[in-house]
Amino acid sequence: MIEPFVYYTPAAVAEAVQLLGQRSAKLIAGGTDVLVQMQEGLLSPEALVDISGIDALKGIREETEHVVIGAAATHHEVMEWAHNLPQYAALAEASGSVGTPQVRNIATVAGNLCNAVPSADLGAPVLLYNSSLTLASANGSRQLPAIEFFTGPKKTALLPGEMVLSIRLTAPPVGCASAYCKHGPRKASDLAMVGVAAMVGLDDNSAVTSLVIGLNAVAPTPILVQGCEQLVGQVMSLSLLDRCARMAAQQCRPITDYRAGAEYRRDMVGVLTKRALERCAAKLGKEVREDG
Amino acid sequence: MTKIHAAIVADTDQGVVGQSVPMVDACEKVTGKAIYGADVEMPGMLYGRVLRSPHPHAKILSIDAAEAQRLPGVRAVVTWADTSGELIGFSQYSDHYIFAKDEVRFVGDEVAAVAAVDEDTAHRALKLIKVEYEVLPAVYTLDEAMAPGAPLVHDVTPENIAHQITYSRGDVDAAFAKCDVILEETFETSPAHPAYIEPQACLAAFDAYGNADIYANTQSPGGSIREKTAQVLGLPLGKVRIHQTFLGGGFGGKVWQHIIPATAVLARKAGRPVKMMYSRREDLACTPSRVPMRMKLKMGADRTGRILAKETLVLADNGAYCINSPIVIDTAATRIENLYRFENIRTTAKLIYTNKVSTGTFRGFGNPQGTFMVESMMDMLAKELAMDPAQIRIVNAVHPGYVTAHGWKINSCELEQCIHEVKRISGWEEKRKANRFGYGIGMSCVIHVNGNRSCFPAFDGSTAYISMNESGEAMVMCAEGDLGQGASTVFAQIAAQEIGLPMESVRVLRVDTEYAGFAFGAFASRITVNGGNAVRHAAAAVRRALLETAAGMRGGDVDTFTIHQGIVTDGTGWSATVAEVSLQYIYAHAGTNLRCDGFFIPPDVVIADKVTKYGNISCAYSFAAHVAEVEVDKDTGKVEVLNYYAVHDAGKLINPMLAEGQIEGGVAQGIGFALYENYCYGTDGHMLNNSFLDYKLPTFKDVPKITTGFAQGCDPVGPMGAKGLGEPTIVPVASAIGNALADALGERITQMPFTAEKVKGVVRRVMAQAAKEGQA
Repeated sequence: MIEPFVYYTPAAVAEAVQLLGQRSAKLIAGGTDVLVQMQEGLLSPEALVDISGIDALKGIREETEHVVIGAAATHHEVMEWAHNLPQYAALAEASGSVGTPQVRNIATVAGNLCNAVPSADLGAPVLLYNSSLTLASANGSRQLPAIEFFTGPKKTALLPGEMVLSIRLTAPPVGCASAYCKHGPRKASDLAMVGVAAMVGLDDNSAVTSLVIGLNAVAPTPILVQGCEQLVGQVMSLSLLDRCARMAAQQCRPITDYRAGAEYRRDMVGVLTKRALERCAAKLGKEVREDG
Repeated sequence: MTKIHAAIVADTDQGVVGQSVPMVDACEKVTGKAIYGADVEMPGMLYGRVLRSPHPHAKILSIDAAEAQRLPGVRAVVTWADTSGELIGFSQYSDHYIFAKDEVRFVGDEVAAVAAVDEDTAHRALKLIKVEYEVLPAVYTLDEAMAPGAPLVHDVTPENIAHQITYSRGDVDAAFAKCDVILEETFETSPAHPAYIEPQACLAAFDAYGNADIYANTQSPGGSIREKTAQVLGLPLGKVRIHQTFLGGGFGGKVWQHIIPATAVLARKAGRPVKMMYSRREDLACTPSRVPMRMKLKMGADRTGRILAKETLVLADNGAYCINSPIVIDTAATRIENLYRFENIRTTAKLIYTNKVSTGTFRGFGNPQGTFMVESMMDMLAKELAMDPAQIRIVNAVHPGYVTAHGWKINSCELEQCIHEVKRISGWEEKRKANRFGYGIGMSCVIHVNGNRSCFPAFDGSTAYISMNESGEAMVMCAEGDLGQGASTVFAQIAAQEIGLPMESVRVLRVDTEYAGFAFGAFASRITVNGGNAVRHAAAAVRRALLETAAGMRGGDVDTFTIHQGIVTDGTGWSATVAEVSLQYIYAHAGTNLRCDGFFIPPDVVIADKVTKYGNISCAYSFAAHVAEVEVDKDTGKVEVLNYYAVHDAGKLINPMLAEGQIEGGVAQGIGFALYENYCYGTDGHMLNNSFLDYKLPTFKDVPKITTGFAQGCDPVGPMGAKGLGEPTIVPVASAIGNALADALGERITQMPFTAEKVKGVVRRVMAQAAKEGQA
C-alpha cells in the first residue's frame, strides 16, 4: 500500500528546490522507480515533487562542445535524438533497452542515474562522455563529475534537498562511435545481468584515436575500465579486442546472486566488451582486423 | 461491434462445427465489459487481506489480534478458530487448515485474515496482529528432507514422505538382460507458476439465512474448492453458491484456491461482503507451483530401437501441503508409460514434504515432468543406436486398439501421423543434416487424457442443459464453466450444430452453481469431450422437442420435419422459426421454457488401482508430436528457439482457430518452462523472485513462429469426433527444446531450466574437449 503523501507539480526549478528542501520529500519525474518502491513500502515520503512539468528541464540541447540532457528528458526522447548519431548510440541503445515502451515513454535518463542501482542501464553510457551533472538545491547549484555521482548501490552524492537539473556530456571527437551491449535472460524487458558501453575513435588506418569502456551491473556502481587510453594508436584488431575484454573482466567486481553467478558475469563482461567494440568499429565502417 | 458480430455469423451454411468462428465472448472481452474476479463489487463491500507466516517452519504460540480489531475501519479478524477446524486437502492426504492451527510450514502460510473498509486499513491492521512464534528447523530441498533424522515438516509423517507408489509390469530384470543398449540418467524439472495474468480474486457474501454467495475467478466453480469451502465453513454443500467470473487465465492454478474459503470465513464473521485480491507477489510466492521432480531413469532397447525395459525412481518436492500433488506425481510416473508400447516397467515415486510453498496442478498435471524424462531418454537411445529420433518413436508408438501397460485402451490415435506430419512441415530430414555446433533440432511426443476417472471417485462425466427462450435463443448452461480457453465457444458451436441454429441464436451462460449442475471444472483436458458431449446430448433432446412441437403445430409425422439455420420446415413448403416454435412450446406448457438436460458418462473407464495404478482412466486420449529448432549463442550461452512446429491429434476440430490458439499458448508457456522460469529462495526460505521483474516469463520477442498442424482423425467418443487440446500443447515443449539443445551441443543438459549460464558451462566444456582432441 502507498502511504498518503502530498503531490506537488512545480512549474519552475526554484519552486521545486524550495519544496524539496522543506520536508521529507522525494522527487519524481517518470516515477517508474519511486512509485514502485512506495508500493512495496520501501519508501514513504511525505511529499512527491513531480518535476516532469518544468519546461527548463525538458528535452536535449546540443551546444558547441556539449550536449545537455534535461532532468525531465525521457528514454524515448533520448532514443529519438541519438537515432542517427553514432557517437551517442550507446545512450540510445541503453535507453532503448530499459523496461518496455510504456516505461521508456515516461521514465527519464536522469531518474535512471538517481536510482543508482548497479544494473541501471544509463550509468556506463553516461560515463563515456566525461559527463558532469548539474545539481541544484535551495542553497544554489554545483557541477559534479558523473564518475563522482555514484557512491554505491542505490547511493549517490546528492545531498538532502538537492536535485539533478541536467546531465552535461562532452561532445566526443569527430569520427567516434559508441555502443551499448546488454545481457539478460530474454530478448527484452530485462534488467542488465551485465551491461557494457564503449566508445571508439578510429583513423583511416583503423588505428585507435580514442577508446573508453564503461561497465554496468558488475560493481557497486557503474565503472570505467582503466588503462584504455594507453591503447590509443593500436590497430583495431582481434588481439586488441581480447586485450580490452581481459582488462574489463579483470577490473569488474561482480557478485553472485539469484540472477547470475559472479564468474559468469565476469565472463560476459569480456564477451560484451568485444561485441560493443566490434559494433563501434562497424558503425565507423571499419572491420576488426585479423592479427598477424 | 458490428464487424465482430458479422464475423460470427459468417459462412455457417455448412454447419458451425469445424469453423473458425470467433470466441462467443470476444465482444465482452475486447470492449472491457467482461467482469473478471477483481471487477466484482457489492454494496457495503469490505476488503480482505491475509496475514502470512514470515517463517518457513514455526510453532504458533499465540495470536493477539486485539489491537488490530480496535483499528478504526476493521470489521473482522479471523483465524483457525473461526473455521470448522477440520483438516482439508486432497482426499486421504488432508494435511492442512485454511488458517494455520498451531504450526506454520512455509513462508507465506496463512495465519489470519482481516476485513476492513478499505485495502489500506486492512493492510495496516495486519501489522497490528501480534503472533508469537517458536521457530522450528526447516528443510528446503529433497536431499535435506530425505536425510536420515531430518526435521519433520509434519510430525505425523515419518521421513517426510507424503505419498509413495511402487508398481511393476512384466519381467523387468529379464527384459534388461535382453537389451542391446541400456542407458541411465537423472533428470530434474523446475517449479513453475501458472502465472495467469489475473491474480486470484474472490468476493464472498452471506444472506440472512447463512447461505454463502461467492464470486471467484475459479476454473472449477462446482468442483473441489466448493466442497472445501463448505467444509471450512461447516456448511452443507448446497449452502455454498459459487459464481464463475471471467478468468484472466488459470492453467491449473485456479482449480484449488485458498482465497475462496478464506474470503468466505471473513465475510461470515464481518457480516458484510468481502472482496480479496492477491498481489502478484503473494500469488507467485504463496499459491501452488508445478511440482518439481528429480527422476532417475534406466531404459533399455534392442538393436531395432524397440524399448524393452524401463526402471524409474521419481522424487517430487511437495512443498508444505498436499494440493492435488499425489495425483500429479502419479501422473508424472505413469502417463508417459502409455505413449509407447512399454511392457516391462518398474517404478517408484515418492512425494516429499519440504518447508516451501505447496506444489500442485499446472497445465499438464505432472505429464510435462515425466515426458521430459522419457522423451530425453528416447533421444539418448536413438543417438546410441544411430537412429533417427523420429524413427525410434515410430517403432515404439502405441496405436488404435493397443492396450497399454497400465490398461489404457487406446482408441483413436494418430500419433504416427503426427510424427510424419511434423517431420514434413519442419523439414526435419534436411535440417537434421546441418550438424553444426550451436544449432540443433529436436522432437518430442505426448499422450494426454481427456478427463481422469481417478480424480473424483464418486463419479465421472459432465452435465449441461439448454433452455429455449421466448425469442428462440438456446441458452446453454454447462456446469464445467469456461476458464478463458474457449469452452463457451465450443459449447455454442456444438449446440448450434446439433439443434440447427445459427451461432447468434446460442448463448452460453456463465456458471452459477445455484442453477448449474454439479461438475469438476476445467482440468485434465476434459471439457471438450465431457462438457461437449453433455451439451450435445442436451441439444439433441432440444432438437427433438422442437420438432415434436412443430409437428404438433402443423400436424404430420415428426420425422418429416427438420431444422436448419433456425428455421423449421416439413418439406411441404410450410415453415416456422425456432422462435415461433419455442414460444408455442411455452404457451402450451403454462409458461415453461423448453428445457432439456444432457449428461455424459465416459464409457469404459475405471478408477486406477490405488496400488498398481492399473486401469483405463480416460475415454479418449490425445496425441501430438512437436519439433523445436534452437540456436545457441556460443559466447553467452543464450538459447534462441528459431522455429517451432506442433502437430496434434485432437480428433475432428470443433474450431480450428481456437485449436491453433491453444497450441500457440501452450508452446509459449512451455518455452518459459524450458528456458527461464524457476523459483529462487533465500537461505531463510523466502522466495526471492516473486515478481515479474525476476520471475521470467517469455515475452513475445522470445516466442518464435509456431507452425501448427493437425492430424486427420476422428474420435468415436468425443463430440462430433473431437478430443481435448488444452494440456497436451505444453507437455512436450521442454523435452523438444532439450532434445534440440542436446543436438546443438552434443551434450545434454538434464536439469531445467536451460539458462544461458548453464548452457555456457556446457559450451565451454565441449569446446575445451574439442580443442584437446584437436591437439592430440
